[in-house]
Amino acid sequence: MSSNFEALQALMAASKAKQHDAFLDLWDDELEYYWSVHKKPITSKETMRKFLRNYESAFDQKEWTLTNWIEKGDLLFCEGVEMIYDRARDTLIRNPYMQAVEFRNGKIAKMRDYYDGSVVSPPARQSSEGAAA
Amino acid sequence: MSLQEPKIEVIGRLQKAIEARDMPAVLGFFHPSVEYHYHVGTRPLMGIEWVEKFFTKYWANNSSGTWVLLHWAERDGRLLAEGREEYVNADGVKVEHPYMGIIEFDQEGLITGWRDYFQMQDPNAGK
Repeated sequence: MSSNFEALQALMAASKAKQHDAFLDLWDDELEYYWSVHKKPITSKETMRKFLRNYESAFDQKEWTLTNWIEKGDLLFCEGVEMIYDRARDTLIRNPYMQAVEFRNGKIAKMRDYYDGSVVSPPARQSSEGAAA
Repeated sequence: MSLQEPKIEVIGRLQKAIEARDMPAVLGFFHPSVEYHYHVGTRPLMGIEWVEKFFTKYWANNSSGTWVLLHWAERDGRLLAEGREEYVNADGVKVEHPYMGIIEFDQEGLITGWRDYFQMQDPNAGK
């Protein structure tokens, strides 16, 4: 198992445990996170921390499972599924996704999430903030 | 079709067949029992006859199609890729879908599974 894949597994564990400091420590300071490739990316840890707080006010990530993955250098291609509890709608959502993760010196530098945005949408906004992180 | 041929090269030939709208050539890449999720979240196409209907309708309704692969990796008969698809729909609307997909091949080199993940941007989807 590569160190990059171990870093992703640590990120998944931190996400599920809601350990924001541990989650953020796995990212490079110069980061890009596209929680939707149709939206502007998150580019700082400060904004990422706000994103995590907002996300968790609307959703509770119950499961995050990888089903297929391949590494190519510092790029990791993933397919998986997450189960998300929608707090406002009192509904458990199944969100299958794919994700591209780019590493720099063992840290996550870029992450791009691809999924059907109509599945996960926060109650207060039209745009979705569903994501695998 | 050589079994040793890198899957990305197989897909390169499929792209050319799609660009040429050569239906027999396109269908020749698929296993008869293929399960094709052209959009994960929408009902999948089950079997090659359904795939043929899909491409027939897709080519009739859309034009100026472009399918670009930006990054990819393959292992054990699976190709995972990131890219984008663009086309102009029947109403003249340009649709762009950044996407990731996984294509699965059998021992004969035929496509048995295909799942594309993206946020549907085409207002005509489902019509």
